[in-house]
Amino acid sequence: MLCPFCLADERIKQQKLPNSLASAYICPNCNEQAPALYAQDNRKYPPVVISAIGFRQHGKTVYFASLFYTLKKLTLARDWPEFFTMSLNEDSLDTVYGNVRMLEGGTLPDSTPKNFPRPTMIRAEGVPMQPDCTLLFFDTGGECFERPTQLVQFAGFVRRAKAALLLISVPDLDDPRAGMQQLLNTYVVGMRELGGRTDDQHLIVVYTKGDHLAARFAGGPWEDLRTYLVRGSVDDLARPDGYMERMHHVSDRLLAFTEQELHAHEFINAAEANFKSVNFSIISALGAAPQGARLPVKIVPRRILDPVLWIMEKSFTGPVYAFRRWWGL
Amino acid sequence: MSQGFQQQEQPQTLSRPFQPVAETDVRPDVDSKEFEQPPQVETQATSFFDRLLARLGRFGKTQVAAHDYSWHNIIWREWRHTTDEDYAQHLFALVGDRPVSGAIAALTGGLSGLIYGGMLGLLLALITALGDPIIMSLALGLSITGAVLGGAGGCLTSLLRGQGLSWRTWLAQLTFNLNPTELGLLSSVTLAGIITWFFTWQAGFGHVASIIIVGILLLEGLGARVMVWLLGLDRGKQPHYSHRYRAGYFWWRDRPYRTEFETALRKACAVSSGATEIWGPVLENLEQQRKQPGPPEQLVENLRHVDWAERFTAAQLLITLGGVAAPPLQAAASQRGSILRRKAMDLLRQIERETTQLADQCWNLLCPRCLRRCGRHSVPVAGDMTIIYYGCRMCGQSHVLWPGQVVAVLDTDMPGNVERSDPFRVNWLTRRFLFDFDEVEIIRATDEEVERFVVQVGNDTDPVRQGRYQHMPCRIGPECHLSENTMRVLGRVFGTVVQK
Repeated sequence: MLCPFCLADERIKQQKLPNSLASAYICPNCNEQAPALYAQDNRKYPPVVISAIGFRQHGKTVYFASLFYTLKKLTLARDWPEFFTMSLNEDSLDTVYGNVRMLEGGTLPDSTPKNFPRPTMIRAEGVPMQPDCTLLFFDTGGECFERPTQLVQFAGFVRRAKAALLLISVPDLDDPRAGMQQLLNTYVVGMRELGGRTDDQHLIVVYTKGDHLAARFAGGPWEDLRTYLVRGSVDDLARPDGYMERMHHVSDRLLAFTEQELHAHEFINAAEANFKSVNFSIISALGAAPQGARLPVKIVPRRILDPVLWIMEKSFTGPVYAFRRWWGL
Repeated sequence: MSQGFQQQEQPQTLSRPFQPVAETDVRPDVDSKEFEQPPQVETQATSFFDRLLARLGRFGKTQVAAHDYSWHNIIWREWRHTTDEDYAQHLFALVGDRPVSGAIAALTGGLSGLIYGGMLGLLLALITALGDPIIMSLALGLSITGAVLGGAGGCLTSLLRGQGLSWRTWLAQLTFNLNPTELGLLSSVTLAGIITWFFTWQAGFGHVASIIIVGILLLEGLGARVMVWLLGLDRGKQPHYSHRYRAGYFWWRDRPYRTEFETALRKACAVSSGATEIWGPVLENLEQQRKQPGPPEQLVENLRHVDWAERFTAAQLLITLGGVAAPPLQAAASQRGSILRRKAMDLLRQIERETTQLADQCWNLLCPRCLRRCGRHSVPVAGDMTIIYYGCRMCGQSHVLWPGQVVAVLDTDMPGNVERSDPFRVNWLTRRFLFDFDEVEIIRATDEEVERFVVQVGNDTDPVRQGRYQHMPCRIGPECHLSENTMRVLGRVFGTVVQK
């Protein structure tokens, strides 16, 4: 069983706690106590590691905050008949609802400090076309992705992810081509030093702060991307049929955008050479640009679930999952 | 009416309320005459048969009276089982001057008459056959006749003596009030006499020796009191030693439960000023200390106190505490050579017995402090022995337990955190940790609060509770508007979720 804290594949044993009627699931590697909800239902809800990779101020933390807001405050459960999410421990609840409160209160979460993060564990059940799973969200400071040594020290969680989530804010990069290449390079080197293999991973490139990019898309050959983004509220997810096909189409379009507009050929070549697959996604976590750390209007996240759907799609591969998706199980 | 936990009335306890008695000096001995006597039956009968019928009538009434005053029996049972000599003497003082019941008097009188009459018959047969070979049929006939007559005579005499014989006297007569060494010596002499007679008979020493020996035995049997007097061992009615043999009496009767014993003591105090003088302050002190029993380790230490009342109080409090007292008692019981070992074992067994009463209703009893149900605990003591007791699943106490169902309530407007109604309502929002409950009621709570509750429930690894959640009803009040997500989370954890 994958320990949700150290991500070691260990046999987590149930141990009786002293002076207590309860027992605990302790990882023999890190001695952390895994939630019973995680340990007992591990087979029914297999873990999916979601590791945010990206430079400082590129929207990793805000993306997660907005995602939690979407899961808890928007109407997905109304539109998806079996869907619900629940946090698996107190820490995760604090993170989820703390972020929700911040966004509701019109403020943005603080920058994430540089450390090995504790995961935010969320059980997701009833996501259309996807198996039930436990999402393990890892977020650490963007500084960790500036040098491979820092990545090794503080972002070791990336090694266990089946899909790497590269969050890139194009408007915040002076030279997107170089910046994207640097991030990818750091990641690939860091993974090697961690003993991981990027060849076994899928790469999901997520363009964050899509509301900034939308202006760039407007009126040109990329208008369809702007339309996709603008119409990307959760209401669009109410009809999940064909949604993954649309995501694939948008991924192809974003690949073209990356080549033709950002001229990041080297990035694409390196990504395709090092990873199992490469897909693109675009999000707007807030729907509008903040004013400093304040939000002038209520947030309207756009396409916020696309990266998660990509990760779930890439994490559960094989004929069984393909059949279940086809059959609608 | 809802009420905070701190402002609750006294919780229902398994013990009964104490009737306070006037505080008096504790006297070492109790004047037996002050003790309550059963009602005497007035009779005008003059003839032997009239008197006999009157006696028999009184015998019947005495039996009824014995049922009315069953506290005597309880105290007798406690007296028989205790290992504390001082305490036993004070218990004996409560019941020792009660009259011996007619049945027991008749039975023991009859048995004595049977033995002595039989021996007298045998003696007569030996004397009759003096100088001639003994005729076995004559010896047997005389012995049986003597036994029958002696038995009948003993019965009648005992009945006619009736209630004149107190337990104190009767027990003193039964044991001749001898200490164990003296009693052993007398028994050895008797046994040696029988053996000697048997061998002289076999060796053909003739009837003279047999007559002498049987005569001595008869004298010893009939006149044991005379022998005791001759040896200077007679101690009259003072039961210095008679209760020392109590472990051999009515062994088939169990020790009384703590509550029934204390009730019996209070009844004794209610009907007897002598009992009140001794036991009143002791019971009052016990009741006071029961409110704040102190650490069980100190109570275990008090078991060696020089004052019997302190020892008694400590023992009663330890039994009251139940499982809380088990660890220090276990430690004392495991120490080989400790003077407390026997006492600790005894108390552990008493706790086992007391709390086993709770076994059938365990899930219906709630510890108000831990909000856990009652459960089974096992304590390994010396060797392979294990003591089983029942008490709060968490702290082990069995003193204060509330019967009834428990509802976990999520209500931001609920005053206090426990509402003592039927069923009990415990507000999880003010406690924020799990307890044993049977139902869930969400009156006013946010999605976040509900999810926090559900996460605790989902992560609960308590083996008793874990399997119950799936069958537990969860009701949501009309004022509570939870999101669809939260409703599904609830549905995943609990058996049925109903929005009112």
